Amino acid sequence: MTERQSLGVVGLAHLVLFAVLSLALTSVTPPLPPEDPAPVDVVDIAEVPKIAEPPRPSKRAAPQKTVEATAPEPTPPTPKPEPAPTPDPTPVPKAEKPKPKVEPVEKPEPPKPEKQKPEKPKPEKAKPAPKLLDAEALSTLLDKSLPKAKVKPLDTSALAKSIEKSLPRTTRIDPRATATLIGAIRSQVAPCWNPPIGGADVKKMTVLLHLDINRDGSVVGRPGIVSQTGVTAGNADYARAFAETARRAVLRCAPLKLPAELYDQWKAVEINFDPSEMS
Amino acid sequence: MRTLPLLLALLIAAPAAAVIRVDINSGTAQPLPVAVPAFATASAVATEAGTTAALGQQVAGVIAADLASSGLFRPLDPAAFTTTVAPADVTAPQFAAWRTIAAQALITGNVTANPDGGITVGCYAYDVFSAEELARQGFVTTAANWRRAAHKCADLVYSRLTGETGYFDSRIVYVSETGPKTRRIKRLAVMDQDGAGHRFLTNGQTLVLTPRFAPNQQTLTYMSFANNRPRIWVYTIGSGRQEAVGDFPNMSFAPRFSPDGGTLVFSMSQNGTTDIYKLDIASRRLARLTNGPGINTAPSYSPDGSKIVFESDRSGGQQIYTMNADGSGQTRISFGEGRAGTPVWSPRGDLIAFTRLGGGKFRIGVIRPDGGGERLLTNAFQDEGPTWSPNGRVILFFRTAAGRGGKVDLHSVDLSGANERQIKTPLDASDPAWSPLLP
Amino acid sequence: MLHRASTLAIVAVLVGTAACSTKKKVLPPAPPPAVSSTGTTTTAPSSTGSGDTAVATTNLPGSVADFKSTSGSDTVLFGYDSYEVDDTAKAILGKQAEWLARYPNVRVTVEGHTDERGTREYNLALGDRRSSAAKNFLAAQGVDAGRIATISYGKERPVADGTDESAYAQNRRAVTVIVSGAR
Repeated sequence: MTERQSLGVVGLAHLVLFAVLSLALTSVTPPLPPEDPAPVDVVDIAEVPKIAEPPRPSKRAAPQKTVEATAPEPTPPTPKPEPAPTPDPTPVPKAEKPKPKVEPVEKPEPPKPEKQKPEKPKPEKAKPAPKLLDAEALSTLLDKSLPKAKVKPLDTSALAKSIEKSLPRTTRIDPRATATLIGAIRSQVAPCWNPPIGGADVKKMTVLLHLDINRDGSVVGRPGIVSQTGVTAGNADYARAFAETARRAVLRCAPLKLPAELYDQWKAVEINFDPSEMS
Repeated sequence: MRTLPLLLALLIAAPAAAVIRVDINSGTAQPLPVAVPAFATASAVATEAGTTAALGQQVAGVIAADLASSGLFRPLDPAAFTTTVAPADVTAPQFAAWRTIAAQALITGNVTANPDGGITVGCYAYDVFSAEELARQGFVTTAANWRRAAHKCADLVYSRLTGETGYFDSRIVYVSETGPKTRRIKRLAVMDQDGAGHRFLTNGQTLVLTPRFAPNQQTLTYMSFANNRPRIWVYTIGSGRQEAVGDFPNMSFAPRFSPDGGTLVFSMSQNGTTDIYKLDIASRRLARLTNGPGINTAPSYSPDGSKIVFESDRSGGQQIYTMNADGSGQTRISFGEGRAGTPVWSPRGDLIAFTRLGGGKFRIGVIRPDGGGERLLTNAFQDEGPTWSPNGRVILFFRTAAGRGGKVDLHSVDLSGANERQIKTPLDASDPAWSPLLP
Repeated sequence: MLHRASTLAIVAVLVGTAACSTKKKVLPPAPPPAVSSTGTTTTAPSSTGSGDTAVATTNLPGSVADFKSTSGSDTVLFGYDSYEVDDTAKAILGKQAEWLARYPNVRVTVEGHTDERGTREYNLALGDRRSSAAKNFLAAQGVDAGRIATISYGKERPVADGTDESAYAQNRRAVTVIVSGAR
């Protein structure tokens, strides 16, 4: 989908939502189409070259913000069996009048277990800040490849072309789409990750998992460990416990909700877990 | 020219384009939700401690309480369970039922009566989301000793999920206090680390202080004012036998065992000077380790027995020093504001817990044996006398409240400074000491 | 411990008193003394009686009460974390020494105490410093060291309950307790 289309769908859905609510129906409105976790605040392409500059994304709310963006995300981010059937619940108690679009949708944000930032996932708002977010998300991807790959080469590669062919509308490996996918995966898995508390060695560990994912978003078998850092002879037990928390994060929050048309991009994914910046 | 590196880049970039890599740098550090349903039993058989079915419930309760007390686990409320565990489920759990309540690990097992009147407790831990078994072990003991089987199961789960060794199958000895502060009655008391099985060991007629376990946990050493002669004693827990150590003319106090149990290290005061001595228990040979000036006391061995940490005021105020077990190489390791005392070496050897005095408060802190990395873990009026859990992860101490008749009670805190909690005792309590893991 | 020491002292006093009572019968009744030093004295003014003279109590020479009243106190105080015998303490200990010289059969134990602002073991050692300091002073005043035992109670036996300076100040002390030989 293009950005426009997705915006349109989301906008329409919100309007439907308000219409239903204003009719004071008590039934829960259906969640926004699951096909649309794309962050609404996608950077427009002119900014892509800039992305090459910023240093490693890591810390700094990148995951948080992403969650923001994917407000319609139905997956329960916390282990509590809260019925988080999307942003809807709050508008009901608030007896929203059919205000022009914006307001009520913002309300759903606060109840969302983690993220603060009441701003935006408003489709209309299109532009709100997270360019930075996206930059970070994108540069996450970019950093992993060679510096050269940051810029254009993808566009000119034969491989890229062949992959592009398999994509419906987007006729390029759009870095934004990839960034979108990364953000979507992160926003779904990170809230499910409970790294071990307090073990001193654990802060210096990282683990890289490989996942094969089915079309419905479920994980094939168990995620495999590609590599792990920070393991010494003395902390092997900690290392195993640590790796298991990563694996559990993936399995708990599967099946992942990702756009079907990009399946070829996300049928195999690697996730790196690094707690070093957590307090 | 440019194209060659580009092509190379493409070749290498191509796989990167094929497998997305996601970085996750934050999660939620929170206790792990686990489910501990009642242990199953093939058939309810009566034992000297109740039926196996009843024991199955109690075992699960003890395990859940242990895990919760560590602050690292969150046992889910059994009222939320959607299924019970039948004997067949113990080895083949219905994971779906546990997934719906978001339990990440399942601890389950069974209790079986043995022909000799004892019980076997089977303990199984599963990862709910990956549907695989994490650990399993059976524990055989007398029916009356079922608590220890439960603690051992909790230790198994704890160590498998955290990577640390456990500490739940252990005991605490301490001084039970009662009465007005000006006429305090003190008794030695012992209990399981979860407070069960509490027993008084002395009757309160003589003032007793600072009890510590021997490595075999069968004996204690402590200080008593019996017969108006303040000195160190050894108490055999099983028989209740008490024996004074040595016949020294002067006050002896602050005793501790060496890790191999063969030596007692303690302080003796003479005409205003207090020094540290060690006594070889078998040969009764006494060796002097410090030679003034001032007060040298509160010695504690490193877990490998090669070094001793102690406090001394030779620099003008109480500070912490380490030395070799033969008394050589005495080095000060605590600096900074205020004073420091009551040092205790962690069973892991990596840290020393101590009391930091200053600013009108006593606070529990930890410091590395080289003197670096000092961290204060508590912040109340008067916290002192730390002791380590067997796995070097939890510190137990006693806290005095300010004011007249201020309560004195036991508290514990995780090494990270989190999960500070009170350990309930029948009366006021001080001078706690934690046993090693029971074998 | 302390309980026994005081029991012993009481017994000693009673025994002494018993011995004294015989003597008392011989003496003519003495008029109530106009003055007695601190201690157990009650004077009944003549207004109560029709000519009867009241009887006041007094400390028996060589008794524990006599010791305390003659010395001014059985207790000397110390500064925070200190075992220095200051001038007030010296004066009291000096009088104690004099009294002990008059009654050479009396044996004492000097107890050392601390306030609660220290850790357990350190305070036991500090109490020992204080009792030793007081003992050494007495010995320097001529009291035979063999008559003086010492014991430290650290912070275990405060005389004042409280976590303020006034309570702390009372608890930092050395107490001279007669254990035998007094009447």
